[in-house]
Amino acid sequence: MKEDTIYEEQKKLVLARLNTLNPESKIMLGGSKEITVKDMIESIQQGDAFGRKAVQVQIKMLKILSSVAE
Amino acid sequence: MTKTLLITRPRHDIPVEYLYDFTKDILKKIKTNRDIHVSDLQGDRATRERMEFCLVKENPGLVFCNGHGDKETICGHHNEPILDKQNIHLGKNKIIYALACDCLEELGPYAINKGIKAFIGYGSQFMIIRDMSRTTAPDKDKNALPFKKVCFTLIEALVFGKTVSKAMELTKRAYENLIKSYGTSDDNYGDIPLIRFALTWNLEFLGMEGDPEAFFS
Repeated sequence: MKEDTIYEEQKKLVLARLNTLNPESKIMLGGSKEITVKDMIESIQQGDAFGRKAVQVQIKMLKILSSVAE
Repeated sequence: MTKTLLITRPRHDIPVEYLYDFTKDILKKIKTNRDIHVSDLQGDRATRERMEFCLVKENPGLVFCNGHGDKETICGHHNEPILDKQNIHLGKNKIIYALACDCLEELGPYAINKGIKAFIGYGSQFMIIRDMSRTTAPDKDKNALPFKKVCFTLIEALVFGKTVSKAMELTKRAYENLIKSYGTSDDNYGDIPLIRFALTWNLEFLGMEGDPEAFFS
């Protein structure tokens, strides 16, 4: 499978997961900024730098969680 | 021989107030150890002038910076840049651990070129999930506890003589254990999935430059 296709599949998986969360829940970032789950979903949909990092991190988290069962 | 730890911990806004709170336990633990002297630039004492003075006059083996940051800068009180490309050479032969956003990306490698032994930091934003009802009391915020725990793991390992690579290994393991074990019950606000995400984010972007075998001396 091509890298772009894999990324699109990962993105769908992550968005499905994020859509189960409260869209107004907040993450505190440095620089006194906060982002909501809704902002994160928008970043992922737009494919900006933050959104791409968020997909990468969500997939890593799923890998860590799945390693419990190994 | 007494070793010196230099710590900066401004507390002028909510995110840095959390980091300030995270440092309390390690300072309490160091108090019981006569071999370690602490230069504590807290609150409005976290200025560039004092930072430079302490780096030159006290020659700390370990510099622990808490505050805002960007790719090229670590900030102090009211976001005054206290370490950047202009003065990072003052950290020559020292270990710098920056609990600040983004600075590993450019300041980290630049610091190593200027003779810093090792630079530990984050290559992206540092994330915390806070309990929105506890914004004025970080020490009572249950959501902040796992973040506090991993920060303590790293600085404790460094302060008590572990090499940078060992301290990183212990911290990454602590992150992974917390991500796996963080509870699923008593989550009235649905914060747990976000706490896991933010821990994974911090794990992903925690890194180091320089000598992995360096240790606080």
